[in-house]
Amino acid sequence: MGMTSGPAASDPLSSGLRAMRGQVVATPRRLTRKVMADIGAHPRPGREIPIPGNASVSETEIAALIRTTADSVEGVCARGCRIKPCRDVTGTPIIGPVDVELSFAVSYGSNIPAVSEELALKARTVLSQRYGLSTGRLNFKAVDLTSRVVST
Amino acid sequence: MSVPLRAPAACTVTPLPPRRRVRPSHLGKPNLVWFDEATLTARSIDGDSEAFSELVRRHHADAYGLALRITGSGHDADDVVQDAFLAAWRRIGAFRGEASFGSWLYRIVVNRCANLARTRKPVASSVDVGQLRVAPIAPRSQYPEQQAEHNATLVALRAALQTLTVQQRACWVLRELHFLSYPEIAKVLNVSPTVVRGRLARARAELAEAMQAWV
Repeated sequence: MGMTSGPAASDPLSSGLRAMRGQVVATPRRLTRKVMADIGAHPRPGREIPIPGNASVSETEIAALIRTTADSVEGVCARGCRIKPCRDVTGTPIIGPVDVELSFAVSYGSNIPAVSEELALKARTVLSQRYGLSTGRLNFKAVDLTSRVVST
Repeated sequence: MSVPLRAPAACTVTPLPPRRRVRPSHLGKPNLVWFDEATLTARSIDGDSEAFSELVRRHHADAYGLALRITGSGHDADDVVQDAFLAAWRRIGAFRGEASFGSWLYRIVVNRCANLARTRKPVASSVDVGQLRVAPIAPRSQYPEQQAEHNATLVALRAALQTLTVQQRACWVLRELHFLSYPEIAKVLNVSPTVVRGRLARARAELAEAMQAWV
C-alpha cells in the first residue's frame, strides 16, 4: 500500500501502535450481564454455622452482618471476616458461641484500641440480637490506615 | 419607637442534634464504589458476591481489551472473559495479595487465551474488526485518505499480531497497550523479567517485519 503523508508515513509499526492505542474497546453489555449471572449462580456461602433453635445460618451471611456493623463505626472499613463455631474438647462444634476474626482498615488518627473495643461491643450485640449467638474469641486486626473517613 | 435591649432572663440552650453517622451504604447495602480494591478483594474472598461484582465492574474493560487483542476475536474474547471471571470468583480464596487483583486476573485471562489457542490453529483472517471502534485521527470529510490509511494500518497490525505466539502477543499487548512494567508483566505471566524482555524483543522484531512487508 502506498503511503502518502502524516504519521503513518514514518514507521508502520509505530503508526499502527498509535492507532491501536487510540481505539476504544467497547465491552459488550451482555458480557458483564453474563458474568454477573454466573457469579450469582455460583454462590460461596461458606460453612453453615449452627445457631440456637435447631437452625443454622451461612458463614457468609454472618460475616456480612459483622462487616456492615463494623462499617458503622467511625473511621472503620471492614475487610475480611471469618466466623468459626467454638469447639468442645473433643473438637465438636458447640451450638452458640462463635469465634470472630475481622480485619479492618482504620482512618489515620483513630484510637485503635478504642475502635477495637467498640467493634467488639457492637459485634457481640448484633450477633446476640440477630441470631442469639454468643461470642468466643474476638480477633480484630487493624491491617491498614486510610486517609478517607469512612463514616462522618 | 425604641425597644430597650435586655438580656433574656433565662437562656435556654438547645443542643444541636448529634451528627448523623453516614455509613457507606445505600438502602442498607454498602455503596461499594467507595471501597478500595484491597477491601473488595478481602470481602470477595469471604464470599461476598456484591464486592466481587464491583471488581468485575472495575476490571471488565481491561480484561476484555486484553482478551480481544490476544485472541483477535470478539466471540472468543467474550468466552475467555466470562470464563476468567468465573474462575477468579471460584479461586479467589487462593489469592494471596502478592500482586494486585488486576494482575492476577490478567494472568487468568492470558492462561485462558493460551488454552484456547492450543485447541485451534490461529488464522490471521479471523480478526474481528467489528469489535473495535476506531477513533478517527481526523474528520472523515476533511482527510478521508488519512482515515483510510489509519484503518488499514490497524487491520494490518491486528493481522500481524495474530502471527505471534500467544505468549509473545500477551507480552506485547501488556507492555504497549496496558502499559505494564517488565516486572509486572513477569508476574502476570509467571516468568522472569529477562524472559519478558526476550519475548518482547522478538515480538517487536516480528511485528516490525510484518508491517514493513505490508508497506
